[in-house]
Amino acid sequence: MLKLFKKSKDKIPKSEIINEPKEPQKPAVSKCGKPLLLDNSRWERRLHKELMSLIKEPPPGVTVDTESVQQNLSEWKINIKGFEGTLYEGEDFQLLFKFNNKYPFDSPEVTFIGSNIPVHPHVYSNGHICLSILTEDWSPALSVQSVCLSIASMLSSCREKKRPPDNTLYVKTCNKNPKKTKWWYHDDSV
Amino acid sequence: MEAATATLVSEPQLATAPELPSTSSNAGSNENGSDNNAMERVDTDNIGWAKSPTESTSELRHRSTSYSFTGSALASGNIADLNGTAANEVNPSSSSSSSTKTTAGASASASASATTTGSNSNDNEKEQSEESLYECNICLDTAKDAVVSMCGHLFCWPCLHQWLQTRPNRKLCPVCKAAVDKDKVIPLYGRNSTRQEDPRNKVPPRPAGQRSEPEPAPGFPGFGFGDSFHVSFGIGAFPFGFFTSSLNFGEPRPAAANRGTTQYDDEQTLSRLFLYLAFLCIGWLLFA
Repeated sequence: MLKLFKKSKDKIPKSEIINEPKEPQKPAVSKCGKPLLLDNSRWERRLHKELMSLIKEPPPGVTVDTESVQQNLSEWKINIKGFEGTLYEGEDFQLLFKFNNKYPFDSPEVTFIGSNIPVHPHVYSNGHICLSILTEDWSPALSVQSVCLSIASMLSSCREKKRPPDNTLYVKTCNKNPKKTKWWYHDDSV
Repeated sequence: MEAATATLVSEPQLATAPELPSTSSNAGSNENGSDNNAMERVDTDNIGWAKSPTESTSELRHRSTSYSFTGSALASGNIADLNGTAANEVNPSSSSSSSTKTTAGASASASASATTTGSNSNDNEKEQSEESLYECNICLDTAKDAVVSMCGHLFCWPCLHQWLQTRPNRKLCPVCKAAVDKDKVIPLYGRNSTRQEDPRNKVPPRPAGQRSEPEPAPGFPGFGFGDSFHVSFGIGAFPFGFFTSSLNFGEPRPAAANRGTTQYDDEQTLSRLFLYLAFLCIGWLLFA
């Protein structure tokens, strides 16, 4: 009897593909049924495309550190200028984007780095950013460019320069990776 | 967060973009002959309209980005837009070389390098911009095994499938966050799609076009009393009924499940299980 159940369990994955005739032999296949090789180059291709468009038509105040990208395609350093007429006018910030091979299905890890980290109610002093599109509201249709713009607009709409209220506690206790933090998005005003 | 949604929502404007080059391309085709859609046209005549799609996309980008800002950014985006459309209208009437200058000069967003590039790079740009209209919103390549969501956004089916699997309990359109589902996307079949490999053989399968199958023929023909007479024998345990033997008239047996489905497999397993159970019972009755 046990054997019977085992058999039926083995059969289920095959029969899930209803109406599909025998699949042709496929080489390396990952668990989700996608060719691994293809997957690997796909995220790199997309990053290349984004890099090209970012270099060709950069959004205002945004520049890519092409040297850092050439060394490692999965880590981009991007410089952002504080816009005129905002609290951050004249300041320069540097963002670090880290991509994994699930990009664009998985969001990039975005933090402020360098000596100047903006004083903003949604930016912790270790560079972590509380922004919903970086975790749960991420969509693969977003890009480096749109994330940069969102961060720039987040900075621009700031009315008062201050750190988040729980800054000291968070910076002491948090993980290095901001995506491991369970963010609570409650303040849409800034 | 507000900014992000604004940029997302503005995306559908891309749909109007294909019409911009088409008006001027008609003007160009009078001299060039019939092959309007050929990708490798390296005429100087085409430079004039070849540039307009690139600019239209850059305008769109400006327009979409300008939502996230206030004041000057918004205004400049609109100016660039107006200039661009005006230049596009000028294109068909004026000669090719002058129209190149007008478009390049008029649009605020055009890069200075574009005016100095040769015809080859112009051609490349033209190809890129034409392709970009049919790019998958996820991989940014020209959509393969294309599907369109109900909200009108184009994806490769493998890309969209992977996204839906990434968040199985929150299936949202990546562009506009409308609800999407496997059953609610429409596959796009191009003219030559039948010559290529059947996309359904690929993994993951692209959802087929909606075409309902006729009712399947009844799987079990019955014992010759017509299909509406069954006899079954059994022994019941007290609380569940004394007799499970029954005679049924006029109730057709439910059709067997189709081969290959999970239901079919389950039914097969169950029927084998009960067969062994029956053997066990008979053996027990005989030997006990």
